[in-house]
Amino acid sequence: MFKYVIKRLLLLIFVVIGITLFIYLILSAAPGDPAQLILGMDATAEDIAALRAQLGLDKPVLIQYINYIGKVLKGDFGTSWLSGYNVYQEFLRRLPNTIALGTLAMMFAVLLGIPLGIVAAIRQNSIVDYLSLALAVILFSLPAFWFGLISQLFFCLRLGWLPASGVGTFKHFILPALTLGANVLASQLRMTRTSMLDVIKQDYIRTARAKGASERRVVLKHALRNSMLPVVTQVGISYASCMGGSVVTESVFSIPGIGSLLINAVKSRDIPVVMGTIIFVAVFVGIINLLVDLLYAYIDPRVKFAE
Amino acid sequence: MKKRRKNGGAVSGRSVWGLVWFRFKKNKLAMAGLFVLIFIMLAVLLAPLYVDYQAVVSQKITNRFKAPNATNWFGTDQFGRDLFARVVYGGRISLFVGLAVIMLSFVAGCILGGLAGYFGGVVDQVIMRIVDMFMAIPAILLSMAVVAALGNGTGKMLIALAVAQTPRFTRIVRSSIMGLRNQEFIEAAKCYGSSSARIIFKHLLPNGMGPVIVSTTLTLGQVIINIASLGFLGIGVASPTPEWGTILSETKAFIRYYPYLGLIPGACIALSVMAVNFIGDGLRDALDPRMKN
Repeated sequence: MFKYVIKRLLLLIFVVIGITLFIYLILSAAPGDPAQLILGMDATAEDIAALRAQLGLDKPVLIQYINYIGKVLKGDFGTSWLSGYNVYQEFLRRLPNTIALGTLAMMFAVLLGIPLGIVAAIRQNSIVDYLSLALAVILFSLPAFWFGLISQLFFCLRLGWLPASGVGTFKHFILPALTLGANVLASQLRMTRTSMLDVIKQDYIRTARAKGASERRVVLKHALRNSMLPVVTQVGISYASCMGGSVVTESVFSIPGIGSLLINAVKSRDIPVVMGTIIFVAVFVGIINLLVDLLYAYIDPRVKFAE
Repeated sequence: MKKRRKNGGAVSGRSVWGLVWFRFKKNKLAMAGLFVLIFIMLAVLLAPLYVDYQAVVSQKITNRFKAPNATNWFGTDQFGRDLFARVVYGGRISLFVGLAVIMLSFVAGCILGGLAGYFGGVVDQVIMRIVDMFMAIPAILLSMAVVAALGNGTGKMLIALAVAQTPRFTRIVRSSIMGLRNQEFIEAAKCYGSSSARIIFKHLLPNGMGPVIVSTTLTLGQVIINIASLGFLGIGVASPTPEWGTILSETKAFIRYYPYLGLIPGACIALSVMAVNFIGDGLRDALDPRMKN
C-alpha cells in the first residue's frame, strides 16, 4: 500500500505540471501584454520593458515556464503581479476559511443526504421518496449564487438571525455552508438512493430476511455497507466540486478564502495567483481522491491496490 | 428522429428512437420539462418580434425601481430599464451560449473519445492521461483559469467552458465505444474494408450514443449555471449586454429593497435548469429501461 500511495503522489506532480503548462501555453497565445495591463494605458515604453524584464516576460514562454515550475517545486509560488503580496503566504492566511466552509458544507450534505437517500430507498414510491427526490432536483437546479442571495435576504436582512457576510464565528458559516452544500446534498441523496435500491434487490438481502433478521438489521448491517461504495466515491468527487463551488459562495458571502482570491486574480489577469490557486486545488483534490480510494479498501476488503 | 410508423402502435414496428420517444412521453415530469424548455427557447428566440432591443439598453432614470406592473411585467431596474426585456434578451445568451458550449465539447469529446476507445493502446493512454489531468480541476475553476489566460469576452468564455467540459464527454464516449468495439458488426465492417474513420463515426458512435446523450442533457444544466455564475462573478458576459447571471450581479445591491430584481432572473435560471434536468432524467429512463426502478 505504501508503494501505491507514493505512486499516486508522483502522478500528482505530473498532473500539476500538465495543467500549469496548458495555462502557460494559452496565456502566451492570448492577446494583450500583462505588463501593459499592470501599468495602465499611459505607461511609457521603457517602464513596460523594465517590468517585462522584472517579471521575466521577455524570455521565451518555455523558459518562463521552466523557471516558474522550478520555483514552484521548491515551494516558491511567486508574488502577485498587481499587489505584490507573496502568493504562498496569502494562501496560508486564507486557506482555513475555505477548508472550514468546504468541510461544513460536506458535513451538512452527507449528514442529511445519505440518511434521506436510505429512507427514500427503503420506502420506495412512498411520499417520503417522492419528496426527497423532488428536493434533490430542486436543490440541484438552483444556481448557488441565487440560493445564497435569497437566503441572505431572508435570514439575515429580514429575520436578522444570522450575519450576512464575513467570517469570525460559527454563525457566519451556517448560510454559506448550506449554500455550498445544497448541490452536494442533492447528488449525495440520489446516489445513496440508487445504490441502496440496487443492493436491496439482491439475493443475499432476501436470505437475510428469510433467516428472520429484523428489518433494521437487514438495512443497517447487511445493505448499508455494500451500498456505501459508490456513495463514498461520490463524497470524494463532491469534496472536489466544493472547491469549485466555494468560489461562488465566498463571493456572495464576502468570505476571504481561496475562491475570492481567485476571482480578483482572474479579473485582473494576475497569473501567479491564478496558477497558484489551480495548483493548490489540483493537489488538494488529488489528495482527497487518494484518501477516498484508501477508505474504499477499508470499507470493501475485496478491493486490492494495483501496484 | 425517424418518423414513427402508423401500425397501431405495436412496439415491434418502432425504430430505436421511436421506442425511446414512446417511453419518454410516458414520463410526465420529463414531458413537462420538455414543454417548459421549448416554451422558454421560443420566447427568447423570438424576442426581436415582440421586444424592442432599445428597451434592453435605454436608461430612463425617472422610471427606476418600478415594481412589476402591466407595462413593465417584471418591473424596472436601477437604471429604469425594463427587466422583462433584459431577461428575455439575457436568455438568448444564457441558453444559446450554453447550447454552443455543449455542442463544441460534444464534438470534441466524440472525436477524442472515439479515437481513444477505438484504437486503444498508446493513443488511448495519451488521450486519457490528458483527460485525467484536466479532470483533476473542478470545471468552473478550469474555465476561470482559461478566462484569466485568454481575457474577458463572450466568445472566450464559450471556449473556456467547452475546454472544461470536453474531458467528461471524452470519458463517456470512450467507455461507451470500448463496450462495442469487439462486437461482430464492427468485425464485419472491418472485413469489408471500412476505414477507421468510417467505423468510428458511422458504426460505433451512433450505436454508443445513449449514455452520451443523457450526459449531454444533464451537463447542459450545469453549463447554464456555470455561465450565469461567471456572469455573476463579473468574469463572464460583460454588461451592459444582458445575461441572467450578469443581470443578477448588477441588481444584487438593490434586492434588499426590491426583491423582484433578484427573484426573477434567478427563477429563470432555475426553471430552465430544472426543465433540462427533468428531460435528462427522462431520457436516461427511456434509453435504458433497466435503470428504472
